[in-house]
Amino acid sequence: MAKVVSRMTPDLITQSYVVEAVKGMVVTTRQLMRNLFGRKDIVTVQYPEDRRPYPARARGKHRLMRRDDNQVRCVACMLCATACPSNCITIVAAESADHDIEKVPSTFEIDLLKCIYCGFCEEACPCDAIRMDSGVHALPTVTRKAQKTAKIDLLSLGSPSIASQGGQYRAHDHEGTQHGRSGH
Amino acid sequence: MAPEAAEIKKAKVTIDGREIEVPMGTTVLRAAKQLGIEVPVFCYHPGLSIPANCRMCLVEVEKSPKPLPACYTEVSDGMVVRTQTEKVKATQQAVLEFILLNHPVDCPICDQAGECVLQEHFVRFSAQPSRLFHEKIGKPKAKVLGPKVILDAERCILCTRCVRFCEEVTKTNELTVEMRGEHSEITLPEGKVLDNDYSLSVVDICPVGALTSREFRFQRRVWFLDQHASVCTGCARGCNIRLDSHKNQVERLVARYNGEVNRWWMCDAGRGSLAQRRDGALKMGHVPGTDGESRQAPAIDGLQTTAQWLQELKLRNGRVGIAVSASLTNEDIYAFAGLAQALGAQVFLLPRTPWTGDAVLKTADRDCNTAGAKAILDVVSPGWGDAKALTKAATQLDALVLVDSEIGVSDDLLDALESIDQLVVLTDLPGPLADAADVLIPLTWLQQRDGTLVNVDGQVQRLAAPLKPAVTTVTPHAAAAHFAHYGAGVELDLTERSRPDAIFDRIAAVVPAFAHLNYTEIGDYGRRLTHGAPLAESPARVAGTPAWEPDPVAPSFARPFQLHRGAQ
Amino acid sequence: MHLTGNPVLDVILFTLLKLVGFVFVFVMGMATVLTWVERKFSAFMQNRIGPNRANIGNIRLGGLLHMIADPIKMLTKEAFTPNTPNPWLFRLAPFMAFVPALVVFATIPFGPGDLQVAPLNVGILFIFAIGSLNVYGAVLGAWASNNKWSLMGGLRISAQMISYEVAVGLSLCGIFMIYGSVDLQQIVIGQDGTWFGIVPKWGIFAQPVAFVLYLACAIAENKRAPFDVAEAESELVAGFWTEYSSMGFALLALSEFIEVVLIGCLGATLFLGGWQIPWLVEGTGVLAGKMYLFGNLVPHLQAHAWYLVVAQVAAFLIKAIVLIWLQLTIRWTLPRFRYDQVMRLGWRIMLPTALVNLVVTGIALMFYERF
Repeated sequence: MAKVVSRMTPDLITQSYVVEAVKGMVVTTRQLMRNLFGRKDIVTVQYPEDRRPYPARARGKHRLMRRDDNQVRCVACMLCATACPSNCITIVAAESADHDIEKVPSTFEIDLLKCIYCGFCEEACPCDAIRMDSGVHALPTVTRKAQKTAKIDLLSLGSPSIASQGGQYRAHDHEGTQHGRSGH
Repeated sequence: MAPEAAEIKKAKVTIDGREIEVPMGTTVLRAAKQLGIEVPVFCYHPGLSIPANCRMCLVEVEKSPKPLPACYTEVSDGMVVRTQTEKVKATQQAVLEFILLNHPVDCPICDQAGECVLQEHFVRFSAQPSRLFHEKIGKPKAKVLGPKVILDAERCILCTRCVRFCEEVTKTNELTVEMRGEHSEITLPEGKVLDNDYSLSVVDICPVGALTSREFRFQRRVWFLDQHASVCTGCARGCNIRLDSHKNQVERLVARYNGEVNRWWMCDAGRGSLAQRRDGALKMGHVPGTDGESRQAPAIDGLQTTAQWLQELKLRNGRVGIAVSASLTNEDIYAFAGLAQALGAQVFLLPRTPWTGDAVLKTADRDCNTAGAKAILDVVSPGWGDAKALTKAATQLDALVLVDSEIGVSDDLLDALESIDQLVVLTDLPGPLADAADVLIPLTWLQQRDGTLVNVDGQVQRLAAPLKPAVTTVTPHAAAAHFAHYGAGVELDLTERSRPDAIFDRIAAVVPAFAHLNYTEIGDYGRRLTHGAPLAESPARVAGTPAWEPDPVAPSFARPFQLHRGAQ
Repeated sequence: MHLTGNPVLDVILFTLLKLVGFVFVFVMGMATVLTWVERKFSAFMQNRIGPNRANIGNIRLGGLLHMIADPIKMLTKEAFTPNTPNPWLFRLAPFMAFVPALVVFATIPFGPGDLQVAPLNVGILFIFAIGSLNVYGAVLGAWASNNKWSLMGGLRISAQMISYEVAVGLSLCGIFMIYGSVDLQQIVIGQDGTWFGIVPKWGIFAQPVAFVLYLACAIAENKRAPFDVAEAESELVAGFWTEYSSMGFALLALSEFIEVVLIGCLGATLFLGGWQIPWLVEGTGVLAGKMYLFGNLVPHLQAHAWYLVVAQVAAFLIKAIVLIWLQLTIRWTLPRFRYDQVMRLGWRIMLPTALVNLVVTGIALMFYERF
């Protein structure tokens, strides 16, 4: 049963509009006076100079974390690219030149225009390699191309992580192993 | 087969409370499969011998004190088997824990993740954390076994499928197991390299990520791949394949089970047969420009120019030849044969340069549809000639329409083609023919076409266009219909122009060998041509291959196509 | 008035002085300031800061420098002319809107005696006559823009301005009847004194209904919110000035603000006693008189004492500014009417009310004179 809402039947004073208009003007004038003198209700933030602090868990521009020896932690497992709902992550895996590491991303590109900053990539990452806690706001650029953030930019925000690193070989005999696709 | 089967003694077994009668000698595993009961395995492969070394398939058999391996235990009359008891489950858990003891659980890096049997079994039958305190045993990573295969010994679970494959199928014995116990490792004996023509099949059958293809390694995570059932076009065998693509780009070819054609295997050459097209297929052709120079043009321009030429030739009674390759679908061959009829032209069938076949799968004939092409041309244009005939006839021809690439072009033939005024080449690959052409029309490639092929044994198999063609290219039968309509002023004898199923109906009506076939009924495994040799007598298959008895259970061992995220 | 000694020259110079002082300094200045005030006040009403970015070095003056920055911006922008068959009309339109708005100030008495640029005995009629020309600016501009939105805006303006012209005229007739003149200076003089020693004899007290009608109709005439259907952003992009840029736009916008000042000045003249300071000077308006309220503060005031004149001019300006402020408040308080509501309000409410007001005034006057 639909609820019947009775229409308001304004009296003549209300209908004349003058009184109601004056009431409205009292409200706006009160707010004007309040903001002009005394209490400030103003909510505007003077953006470039003043910035609201980001909440601690705000997701900003991505960053790629580093190993202790400053190499990229990412092992190119592409779980982030898999989890990404907007398909903004492009990873090309390659064999590492380092004997202790099997797989590294030769390119790691994030199209910040496509990214929706959902944070699924950092959730999916098994290596603590990608994070969105940089606190850096993605800045506008003049070209679309410039929004494709390459590995080197993402790494420049990165720092060592204390999480244990996956994808690292333990000490063993490396004889007869191949590194690099064109290897022996 | 039927009278033989009657002689075999039967045994009645009860598996999980369900009874089944199977021939004596059947293993418990296969009997369970027939009932639809899944028993997990690692080392068992229906195409290989049974070592029973992984112990994953242990099941409880009444009157047996210990669980028995289902894959190896043969049934006996009155046997009672249980696969779902607590004991079996505990055993499976224990086996998985044992296998995983030294397995580096680095699934994110491992290429097999997503199609890994160990991963699936672990999730399904164990899902227990490791209790190992000590460091896992290290073994060589990324060890090169051959030009195409890389081994990660740590990930290996020592099922020895690869070793048995090299012993039993290729009989080249490249692989062996070295050391003992937990230090066991798949290696190459001194001086050997895994370099046979089927070496990539070991990657197919490896249940884990130990063996990887150097070509495909790290290229794409498997869950990104679109999987299509298709047929290899590398030789006349027509191996059934699963074509894995990503964003309409071929990533790899994997053998697909077909008991009548290739069983579980396919050759390395077949797997690489699409690389050339993936990297360098023609997208643009050329036509003569107004200034005499030829200019780049999409297929439609070439079609129009050719149709105009054919029209003019018809007016002045010029002689036209039509040369088709045997690597065209039946529909394409039929359409061009029909065009030849309409134009009164002679048809030539040009083969590819043969290679050496082998006793396993590869045939010397490299054309994927020689049998079909000959069957159709024998009926539709009985006087068809071969490459020699074309070389001889070339001087008298005013124009030649030459369809498809990779035709083995001898210098003689090229010289002969020089003398033809108007040489129209339809092809999907650049090459000497494409360079010699006056009009070059880019074609779709076989994996982009819908149509049927007939393999060396007379198996009619379907290509279902797993890949999408470039918009500037054209499919041969559509080109033939265009030439007939605009060039000869004739509608081809096709119920509906340029639809492969309609053309196939016409073929079935016209060519007796195809008479019993229906396009939609060809299915994933194909159908026999009436005149095809019986399976066991197929000449390519006899020498040295293991006996290929009919195996109704085998298809159920083939892994189903996976659910995947699809093209992104 | 002895500036040079030459009486003719004196008149010319004095007129120029009034012109510069009142029209250019006050009116234009006020209009310019309004461009800032309007944005700033609306911001404060809506809990925003408003314009404050224009600066010279670190000096911002709360955005006051926008008054300088905006003209510079307008002057340096491209004067775009759309692809129209009448580019000359397009360029002429802003002047058609701007000039009449400025001219009518000639008859506004901003002080006692001669403090009126052009003392016309038909003052209010002159204002109506010239003020009506204003509509041509907007309509021509709209038509010459060769743009659907502009044209629709123009159509709305022409209908709306004609409708409210009638109502605004009728609403003021009561004032003319009471004060018996259409000469604005005479009307101001007529508003001198008080009733019962308390209530000033202002138009607003004699004709309260007329005041509301005047204010509403005048705002409608000026096509400002809540009557800004001609430029309704949500419907017509920017209505009749969609295609205007640079100084063309500046003139149109400025003429709107000048009309705001005009409505304020005219309202102050007709309804708020003009330059009269209430309770201060009674009688002819030029003589010192009895003090009711300020008697103790200013015991002896003389006729034409310069400070009295200054005070009276200031009183006028303050009254005008109050009305201007009222208009701004209305604009930022009331939502826009629908176009059909605007027309219905004009013809079916404003006009009958003005007529009834007229009749009642006539009857009241008849009784007042008889008894």
